[in-house]
Amino acid sequence: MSGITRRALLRGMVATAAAAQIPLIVRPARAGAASGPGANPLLVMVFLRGGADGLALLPPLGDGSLERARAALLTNPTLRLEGHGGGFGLHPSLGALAPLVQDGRLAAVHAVGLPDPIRSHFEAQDACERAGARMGSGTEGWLARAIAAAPGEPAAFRAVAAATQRPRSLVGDPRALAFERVEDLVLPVHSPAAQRALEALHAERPSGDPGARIASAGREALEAVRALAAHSAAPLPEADSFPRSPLGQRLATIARLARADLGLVAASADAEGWDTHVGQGADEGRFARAAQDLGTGLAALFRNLESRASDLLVVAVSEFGRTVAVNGSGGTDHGRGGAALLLGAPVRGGRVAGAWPGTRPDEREDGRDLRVVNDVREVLAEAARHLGAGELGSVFPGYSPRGLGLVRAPGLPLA
Amino acid sequence: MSEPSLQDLADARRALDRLAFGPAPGDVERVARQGARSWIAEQLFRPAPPHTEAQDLDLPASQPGASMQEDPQAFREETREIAVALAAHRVAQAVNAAHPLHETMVDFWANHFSVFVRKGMEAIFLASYEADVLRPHALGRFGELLPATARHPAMLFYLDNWRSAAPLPPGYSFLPSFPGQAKRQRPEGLNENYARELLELHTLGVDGGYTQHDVEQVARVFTGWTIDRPRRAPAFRFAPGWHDTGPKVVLGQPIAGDEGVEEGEALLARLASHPSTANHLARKLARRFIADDPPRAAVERTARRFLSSRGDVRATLHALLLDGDELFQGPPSKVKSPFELVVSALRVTGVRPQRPRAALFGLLKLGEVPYLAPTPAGYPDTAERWIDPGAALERARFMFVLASGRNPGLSAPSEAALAAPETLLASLGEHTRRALSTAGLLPAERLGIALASPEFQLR
Repeated sequence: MSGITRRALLRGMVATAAAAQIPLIVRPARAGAASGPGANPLLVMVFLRGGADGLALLPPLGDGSLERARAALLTNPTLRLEGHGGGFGLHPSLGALAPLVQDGRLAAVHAVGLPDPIRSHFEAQDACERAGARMGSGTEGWLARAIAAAPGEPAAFRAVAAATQRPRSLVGDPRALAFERVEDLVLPVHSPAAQRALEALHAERPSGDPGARIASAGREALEAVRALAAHSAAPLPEADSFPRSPLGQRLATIARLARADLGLVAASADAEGWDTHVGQGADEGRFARAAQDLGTGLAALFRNLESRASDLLVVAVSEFGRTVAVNGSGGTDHGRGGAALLLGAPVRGGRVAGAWPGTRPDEREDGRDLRVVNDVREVLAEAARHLGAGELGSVFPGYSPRGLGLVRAPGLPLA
Repeated sequence: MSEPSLQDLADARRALDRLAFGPAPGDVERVARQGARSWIAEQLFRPAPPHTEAQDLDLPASQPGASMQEDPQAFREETREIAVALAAHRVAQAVNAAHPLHETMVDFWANHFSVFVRKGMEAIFLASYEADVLRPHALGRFGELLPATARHPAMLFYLDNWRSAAPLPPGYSFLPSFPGQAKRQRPEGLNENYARELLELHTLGVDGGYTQHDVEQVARVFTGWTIDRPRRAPAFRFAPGWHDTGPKVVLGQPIAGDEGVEEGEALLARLASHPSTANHLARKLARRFIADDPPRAAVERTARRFLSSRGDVRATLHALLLDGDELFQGPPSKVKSPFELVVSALRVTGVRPQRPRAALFGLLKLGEVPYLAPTPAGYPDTAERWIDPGAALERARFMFVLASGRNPGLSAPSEAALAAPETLLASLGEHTRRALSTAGLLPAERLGIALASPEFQLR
């Protein structure tokens, strides 16, 4: 079956499924590729930049000490996950994720973070995205290592960041593309002569040449433009119903690439607005707006990728959490333990996994923060396994993930 | 006077590329005749440009007529106009700088003491932040620059310190008793955002030897540093009633706690002359001017001079740029940041933005509009953060647009640039030479290729 025919068929099926409001789980086998659900894994990493308040995102229910510490920030969640004691609720502004929660396709890890007590955004993001590799210029990111350890051939669109710059997690993958909109991936020149000159300009240079890095990046870009052009015989499906926010548009870019069957395996998008030092709010306010953006964006991603539902795993992490107590400005300051979300058909959901330290003052880290009792690399390891990275030792140097068991191994039938 | 040698020309080009956003036509020859080191010394010790009042900058009204409360939509539009004008002003200043090293240091400090224009009221504070804080102190003393940033409404607002106060004892409340007073309400406690970035980004550096406990103590020291009349005539104000008068310990040193605003002033002075601050700043300066991973000797020499000169920026830069030879050694290995790339292309081609947004559109796509850095760390300064395939495409795209002369917002490139694009490059490698000799290229396309070449993107 030719690519175009298959895409047309897929589009028809998606439309039918959407019209009938039924999730489309089964993916037609790709010619020459392994068949079965999850055989072509797709990972979407969302980084909540700024230190998302895990206790607002996913509050423990009926927790008296939390209620005393942050009365002004409390909400009344209706979506619930099982877990320690009375379980956990999802912030009301994440209501768009209700179908995933109800289908048991959303799990969380709480009190998650870095082993070292870092409360600097930049250092913590860096440590999280390197995930164990030593710090320093040129150090690879964990996602670059996971992709290298996963089966499959390098391809222009294998790893994509919907961003103006490549995130640290993808540093070290020279082919990883960063761009905000699909429309950006066109040649900057029109005439055949200028196109030839552009190719010549970016031809491979010796590795000692200071221009080698730029030339190599340019070469990858030209190849990506060619690959995209080869697929544009049928235009990319328009991604509908994403929020108009930066995150929404980044997720729309990812959805369009994933639907275009360009070999996308791992994608990354940043969500901003989580550094809620002032006016964090409860049902409304800064946090609620960020959560609403995240919820509606992810819901739109799943709606648009129903055809790849069995492949798709979304993981949202942040560099750290925030203080248990409200601060002097109706906000929260940088804290240690945060929350991570895992979403999608491959997820064994409905629950909060891992240990839970409690929020009482004597249970807190340094008397102020939710204690980190779950290593963020456990969450990233679930994502790496989904990609089929066999040897996790190379992905997380110096760390052996115990395994949370939240994600079904790729290729296994869905329960 | 003899003609400058090839080495003189190469040194001049290097100095201009690294300290002056690249050469304008004639600059390389002029600096080469003077001698690159002599030119740098002159740049270092020339008096800073005269102080320009914020209201004299060619900006829209630096205070919006619309109030955020009464008409939020109009407020947002007006602040956006101011943000555009401020960023365009920075581009214009860099392109036309009479004192280029001063302008380069304005850019350096604008990133070091980064403020984000879109937080809310930032736009109405920023013209003064640039005119009264960054420009006068760019080549001054760090010990004066640091407190100037700390007291400015732009920084107080951006890093939330204006809403930080000593926690009230249980049972006490200053909650408003009348409707409408909510905005002037006393903050209920500490906000440690500024304290942390002060230690991590502005002074000691992330490995500078402070703890979470120090962050909290520093936050207590700065309680009461707030903004007077933020909406009408914003100015620094110390609110004694908000100040935490208890004893504190910062970096192992006790602070009595009853000296009000002087506690913070003394702490800033201490931080400004701390050896960790010297190391942090020396490393950042060496990274900006020498290499992403700068030679240890250059960093150490610079840090020592920072300490011995008590934070004199000119003396510190002298140690970095002239007391060693690293600036002139090796091939150009620094990748220009988008701001440096765009400004250097405008300078060398004579292209000028015809309206403020024209140059900013390119910078927006490339990811470095002045005052739009998304985090308090400012924009990155290493190749690995600026170069990836998407960025390579956007960089080339901007250069072809600029070279085409067809963008209505940009004037046409100079005849000289179109006639001999290869002469705009500091060096011409085999690949770029081959690309430029591609058959059938139009002059504008040749110029685009030259400006998109790795040679032009490196400094």
